[in-house]
Amino acid sequence: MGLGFPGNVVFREEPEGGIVFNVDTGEMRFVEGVARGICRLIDRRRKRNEILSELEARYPEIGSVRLAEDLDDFLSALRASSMLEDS
Amino acid sequence: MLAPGEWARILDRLVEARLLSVTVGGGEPFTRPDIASILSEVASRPLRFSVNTNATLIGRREAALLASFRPRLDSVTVSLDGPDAETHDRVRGSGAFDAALGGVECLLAEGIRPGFRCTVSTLNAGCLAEVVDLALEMGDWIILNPFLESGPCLPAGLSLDPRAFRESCEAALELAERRKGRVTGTLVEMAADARAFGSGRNRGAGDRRKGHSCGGCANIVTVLPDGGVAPCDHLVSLRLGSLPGSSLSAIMESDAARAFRARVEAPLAENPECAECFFFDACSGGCPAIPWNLPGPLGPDPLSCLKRYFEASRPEESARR
Repeated sequence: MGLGFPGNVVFREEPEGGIVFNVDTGEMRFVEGVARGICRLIDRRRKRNEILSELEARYPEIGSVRLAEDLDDFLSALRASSMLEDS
Repeated sequence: MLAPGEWARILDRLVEARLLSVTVGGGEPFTRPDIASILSEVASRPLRFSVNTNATLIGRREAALLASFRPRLDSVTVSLDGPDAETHDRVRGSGAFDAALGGVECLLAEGIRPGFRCTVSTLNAGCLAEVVDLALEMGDWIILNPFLESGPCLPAGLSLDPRAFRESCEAALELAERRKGRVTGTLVEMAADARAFGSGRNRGAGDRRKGHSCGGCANIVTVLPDGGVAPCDHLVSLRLGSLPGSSLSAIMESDAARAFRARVEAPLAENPECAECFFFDACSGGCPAIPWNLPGPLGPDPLSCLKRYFEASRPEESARR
């Protein structure tokens, strides 16, 4: 079971960053950098550890511990806003 | 007129382009007998949406329909062009005021507090305070925009002359300050820009490369009743492409769309009238809808032009500069 955006949440990439938008509440979250990279990987197939592995490969300069913290913080924030679900 | 099935395909194209919100407007959307189907198609997709209406055709059934789309329904904006039947009906036709208020009552009964939009023209500029009072009594907010002489089938003689325009802007700003956050619109913005200029806050902060401050074909796009795509609803004769035959992304990258953006983003300094203007650095560029159809380089928007604004009724202010 992977992580996915619920049906009422849209992720849209912009030239610099991206937007996660809840169409029911109007809540909008702007993402850039690693957060944008995480959003790209939220596809209903990948699980948390698979996303982390891909981030480690894409952002080797950041370090695994920091990436794991950033990933968990971001996923928690999305969950708290009902912008993430296990699918 | 496209059938709901065609609109469903158009909506799929909008979703595919990751559009986040749409506004269903017209003309008047409730003149369509199939409006319920179309709104249902909108609401069944990951889109937030608003409805612009004159409210004359909104009864209990229509209001209940709109209420059923919450929370995805963002807002309902009702046209209100006067504080009484005499003024409003002069703009919108006999009986429109009473019918609109009836529609608003139905919305309120369903728990929908609408917003309002007043198009300020020679017919109603003298009663802005009363319009605002009525709107905020019934709803949450009101937008005060000037009548824009751009588009098909527009009656003549509704545009405010420079003096009346400036007076309306000043009145709108005063109303906005009294009703914090509930009165907005380009009249308010214009008076605020002028006041900021007068106090020196926006002088010298300009960008010589800037063009018109237009979101058309960048942040917004208008889909016409036949599926045609225009940069905005003030430039409906400018067809950029057609949905659903093409994707919205392809239309936005078309030669017509690129040409539109290039023209509106061309530096105002290329326009001789603007290049030497005392107010250039504080100028917002404004909307290109009015100058669009004039020949030559895209000129200034008269409704955003600080020079015109300051010269309107107090020539001594301009003479001192």
